Amino acid sequence: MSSETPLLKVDAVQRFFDVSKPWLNRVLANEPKLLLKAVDDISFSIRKGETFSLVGESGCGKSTVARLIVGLYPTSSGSIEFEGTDFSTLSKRNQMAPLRRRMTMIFQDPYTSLNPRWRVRDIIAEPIRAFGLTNTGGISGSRLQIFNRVAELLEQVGLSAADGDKYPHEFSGGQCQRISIARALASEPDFIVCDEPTSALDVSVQAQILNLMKNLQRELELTYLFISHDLAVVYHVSDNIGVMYLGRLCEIADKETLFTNPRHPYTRMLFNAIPDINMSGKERIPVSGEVPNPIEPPSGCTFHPRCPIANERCKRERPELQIVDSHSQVACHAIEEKRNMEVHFI
Amino acid sequence: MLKRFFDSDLVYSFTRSPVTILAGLVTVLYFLASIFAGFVAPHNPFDMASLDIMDSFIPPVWEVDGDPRFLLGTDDLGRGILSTIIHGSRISLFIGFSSVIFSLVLGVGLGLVSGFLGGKLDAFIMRVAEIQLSFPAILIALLINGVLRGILPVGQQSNLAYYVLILSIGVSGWVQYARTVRGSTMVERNKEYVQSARVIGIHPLLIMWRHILPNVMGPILVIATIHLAVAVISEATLSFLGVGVPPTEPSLGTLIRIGNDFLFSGEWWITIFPGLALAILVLAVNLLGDWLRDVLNPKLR
Amino acid sequence: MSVPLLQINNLSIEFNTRRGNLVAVEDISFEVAEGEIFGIVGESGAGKSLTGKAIIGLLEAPGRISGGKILLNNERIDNLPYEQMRRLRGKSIGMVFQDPLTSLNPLYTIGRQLIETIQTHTNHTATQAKNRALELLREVGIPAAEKRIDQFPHQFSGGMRQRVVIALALCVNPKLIIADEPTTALDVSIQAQILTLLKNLCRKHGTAVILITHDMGVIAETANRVAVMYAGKIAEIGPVREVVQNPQHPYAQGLMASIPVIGRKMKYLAQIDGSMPRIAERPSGCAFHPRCPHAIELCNKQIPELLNKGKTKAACLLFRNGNP
Repeated sequence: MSSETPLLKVDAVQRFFDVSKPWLNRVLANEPKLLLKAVDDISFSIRKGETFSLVGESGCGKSTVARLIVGLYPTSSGSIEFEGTDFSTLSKRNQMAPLRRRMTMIFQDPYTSLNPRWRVRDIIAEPIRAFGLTNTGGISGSRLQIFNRVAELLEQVGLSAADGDKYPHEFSGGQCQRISIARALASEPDFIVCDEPTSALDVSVQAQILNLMKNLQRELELTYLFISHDLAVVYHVSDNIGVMYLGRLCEIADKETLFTNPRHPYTRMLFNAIPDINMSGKERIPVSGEVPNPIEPPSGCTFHPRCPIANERCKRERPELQIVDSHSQVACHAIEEKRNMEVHFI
Repeated sequence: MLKRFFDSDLVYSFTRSPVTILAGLVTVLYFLASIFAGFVAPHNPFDMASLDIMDSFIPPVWEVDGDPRFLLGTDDLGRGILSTIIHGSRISLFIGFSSVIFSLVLGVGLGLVSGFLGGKLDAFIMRVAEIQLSFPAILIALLINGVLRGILPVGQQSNLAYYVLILSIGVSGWVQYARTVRGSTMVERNKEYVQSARVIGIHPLLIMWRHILPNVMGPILVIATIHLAVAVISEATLSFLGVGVPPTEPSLGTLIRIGNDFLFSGEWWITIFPGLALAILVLAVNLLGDWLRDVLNPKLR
Repeated sequence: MSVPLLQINNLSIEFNTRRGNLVAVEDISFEVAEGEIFGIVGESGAGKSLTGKAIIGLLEAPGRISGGKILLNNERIDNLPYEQMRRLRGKSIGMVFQDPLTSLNPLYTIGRQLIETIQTHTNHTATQAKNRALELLREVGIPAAEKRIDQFPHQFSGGMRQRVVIALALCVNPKLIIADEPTTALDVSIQAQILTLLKNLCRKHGTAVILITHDMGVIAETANRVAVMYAGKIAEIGPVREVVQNPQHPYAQGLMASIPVIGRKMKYLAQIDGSMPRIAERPSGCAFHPRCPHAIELCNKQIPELLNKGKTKAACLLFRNGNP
């Protein structure tokens, strides 16, 4: 990977959630505190203008990473740097504002991500007002400016200016997602975190939204962090991809490398499970087992109970991400030891 | 806009339910009569000068000794029962309404803060609520009433009686609002539109006010309607127990208490008619509340 | 040719609301043969789930069947009285829903739910029923069935729960299973397991499956034949391979092209502009014509019928004279 300063750098970030029972119950039952390690020691960086994707199954912590980056949750440890500025060094609200403006988020559910009681115009104008992006020309002047800016944003995402008068329930799911995108663009950001932006949409609408996002990325030089469980979508949008399993990254690679030469056994398993729309007729080996309970993750490499090539070392020792070549990093003892895994995967 | 309102499901379901229409009419009638009590009532029962002790204990018109001036008869001071009921409803509704608003503001505020911020503050507010819930509401109202009366100077007591009542009934009723709002707030707080506002960095108080409050008000409207009936009854109970409004400006509860003394001497109308008036008002408001709850609850549709 | 297991003839489903009758499913016909996996695919609101519910008699008011016939083994089942339908549901048709958590009663052990279902529809003794339940659990691939049978639904993971639901549907050897988005709530790796299981069961017992989903990949992987639904009608119906790789109807073509495929490099996905109309706002003629790149003037007047086109049937006026 290149040596230029990344736009976003996530370094050894951890986030634990306290999932123990209420204090009194815990004391009476004499139970220890329970910690859920939702994100456990994750590091990656995103270059300006690229789309970096995080993939994984539900509960792997990918959405938590998204929320840590935009500041919805504080980190338990580790640092997140945006253009070299560490977030944890900024404590005051007004210090955060300039950074918050440049970084927004699009959510999964198009219906709940818009306040049902607000008109679309006010929804899109909220960031403009919050960051005071139009403070010229007095109150009436700025009101007109906001009005025009909202109209411009609506048209930019493929809706009409007149749609600003309506309420969210008057729109279809795809249109609601366009409104969410317009709101995300309102603060003129450089970086957008997209948390499963098309998972709740039908395929034909998904195509519209993905195309729109690609267009906007090109026009506005946006950088995306794209969270998804759908590998085909990830293949279509990403430049670089990180694969997560139980709160940890098991492989980071550029798109071509990952899809033509997946290394980590989990990545291979995921690829194996994708329904084959090309109907090539190749027989799949269904992977056995399920994602274990994240509160009591397996020892060593958390994937070892499902891994066909795990050995004693995998049960004991946790693998760290290691640079394999200029294209990819993998956290796997088997890769490091060059164990033969071809017999287990086709 | 008006057309949209008449086309809404609310109006549709209202016009489909005869019981609700009747309850609505009765409630509106009570409100109108209360607001315009001065014009509607045949006499002014608070004007001591106009009262004649010779008119006391006249039975309703249809009884043998009835007097056409007093449709529902008179009480011990010669006040027309109909007029006292109209003026009494006014006082009852005023106190009921004010204490509902007091409870609502207090309960919704605490519920929002509790549900949105969570943590120790939430735990504290909810424990207080639970402790209060373990006593009957009327006991809480009596307690607060007693404390306030103890604090106030003796001369001021009858002047401030209304406010003491509003405060005591109001404080006894906030818990339900707080618990409901807390629950819905905890649901709304995790919705993505709230998270989106947090990502922008909107102040938590503003998020509560602008984003969450409008979305949790639905059930509150239902509770407030039913609570109005409860508050009117609480006021009547307190007045009946003699710690409510003074007998010179009687509410429905006070009227029932006054009449109660004469029930066994045969002057039944003094207590029965205010009692009926109270029962009909409470029933009508309750029916409205039930209907509103059913309409606003999508699960029952 | 023998009679197909299930025949749907000109089925229509309506919703009676105070704003008038809304036709949700309009005049659809298809057949399902014994042992076949028949896919119904479409976007949300296309009417695919309603069709499934109509077959098993679970339409909820105000929805109702307003026309057409449903025949199972050549006997009408759409007009059966409630009690008979209930018996039929247990005996001949099984159902698997999207959310495995809500299709199991959280208060009973899964063993009790299985045994109860078995005893309702057969005259097994308690021991026989329990043995049958264990057999079913093993068959759907639940490890340590003897132990798991006494556990409650919440003690199972999502994938395992869906297996239990499938076991429940299999209790009395139904001829037909209707699976409504059975893998939508599951992760890809679990989805693959469940689909393989369904396929194997189908092959082994000769059970027919109607697989309702929005995911073309799942259909391509599992089904034999597929119907593509759009705005309450069947746009195209035919063998899966043909419909997926060589779709004829302009909507099916657009749908296939809009699916991102791993390995297919493209800057932008092909997209169909606009969105599927809501039930109350369906256009006249062919419901797809406002979005169709090939629409001709006739399209907003005449409702197209399913016509043979290659190896599939497509409802498009372009094919009315055997062309293009």
